[in-house]
Amino acid sequence: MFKNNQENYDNAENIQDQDVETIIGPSVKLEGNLIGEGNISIYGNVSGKIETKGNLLVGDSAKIKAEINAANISIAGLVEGNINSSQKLEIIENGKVIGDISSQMLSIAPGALFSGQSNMQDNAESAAKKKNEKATEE
Amino acid sequence: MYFYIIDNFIKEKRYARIYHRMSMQLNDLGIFDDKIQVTKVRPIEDIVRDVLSNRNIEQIVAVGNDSTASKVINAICKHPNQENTPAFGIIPFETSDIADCLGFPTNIEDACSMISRRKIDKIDIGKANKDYFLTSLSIQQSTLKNKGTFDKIKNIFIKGGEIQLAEIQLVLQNFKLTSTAEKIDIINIYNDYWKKQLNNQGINLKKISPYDGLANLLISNNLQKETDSFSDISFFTTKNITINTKDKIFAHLDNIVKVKTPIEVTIKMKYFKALLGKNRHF
Repeated sequence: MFKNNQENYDNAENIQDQDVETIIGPSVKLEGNLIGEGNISIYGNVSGKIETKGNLLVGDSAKIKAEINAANISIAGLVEGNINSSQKLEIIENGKVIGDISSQMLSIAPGALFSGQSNMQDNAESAAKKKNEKATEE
Repeated sequence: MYFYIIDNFIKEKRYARIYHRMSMQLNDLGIFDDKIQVTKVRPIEDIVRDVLSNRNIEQIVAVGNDSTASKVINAICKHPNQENTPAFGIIPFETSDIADCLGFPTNIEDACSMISRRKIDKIDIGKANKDYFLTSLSIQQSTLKNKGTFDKIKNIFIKGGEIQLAEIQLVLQNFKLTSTAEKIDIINIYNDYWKKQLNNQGINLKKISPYDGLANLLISNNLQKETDSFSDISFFTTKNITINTKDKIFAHLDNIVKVKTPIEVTIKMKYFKALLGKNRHF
């Protein structure tokens, strides 16, 4: 259990270590749609919608009321709203999620809070979904 | 053809030797074509307007400091005819952020050599209301702490001794931000100070480019005096930013020009022709 827990933290650090396109610090309040392509780190307050093709890190001081769409998501703060992760979603110790989640991989650490429904995406299913999306784009 | 605008303060005795060295070097390089000295009756804006309207020059070089450079840049960008505008260069006689960002060294001979390379490119330039900036727009609220005694006493009575930071609203493309940050910067070209702050936050400096038509917004808070870096930083990249405040506050463009809120900031993509030095920050 402890090993898994350590892995969770390692994943969060991996997200943190990558190049960041957008950072929302603890003193900032954001209202509206935050739509990006790269990695996003949030430590402040956000309400609206968050969408990125990159990864999302929700820091322990973050308070989010938003629909979220991202690749890998790591949550150490509070999220109220539905979350869709195309890859891995992890809720770290003391992280709180109130809303439905959909992800390929899910990890919830001891001490984390999750209230809502969880829908696990099949790899094949999500690959087919991606293929369909590409076909419609073309 | 090179045209040099020599700022008024260069006349001072303490700059005589360095001016002589510059003249020698430019003559040696064969690029000391024409020059004009700024005076009180003939300010930079008038000189640039006359030169752009009546003469065919390829390079215009500001000889002076950031203030000289900022005035020349604004005069070039505000000229009604933007076709065939000359490339801007700078020979810094004092520490200059603009020269540093464009890659011109403080050593006068080296700066002259960089000018002679004729490495010219069109780069982005920021516009804040009617004025232009090459490096950054900055709002530094923490300077309020350095106000005069009268203001400090007034603050004690009105706000219980606490210096209140104004709430600043920033409207970006799809969302708005509210912050009482100590420092807000909109960066077009980063300097060494921002390089350190951005590196600390894992922001890839390659993404801050004066060729992408994008403004880089940096909101900083809680300066840690021991490390000289901010513990609370926000960073966004966007095309346009509107800055609103309840009470009017000032922003500085290139640390020189003062602009009052509300401020509309846009980045004009590849609008400004500049001479570039080897050590430029992009």
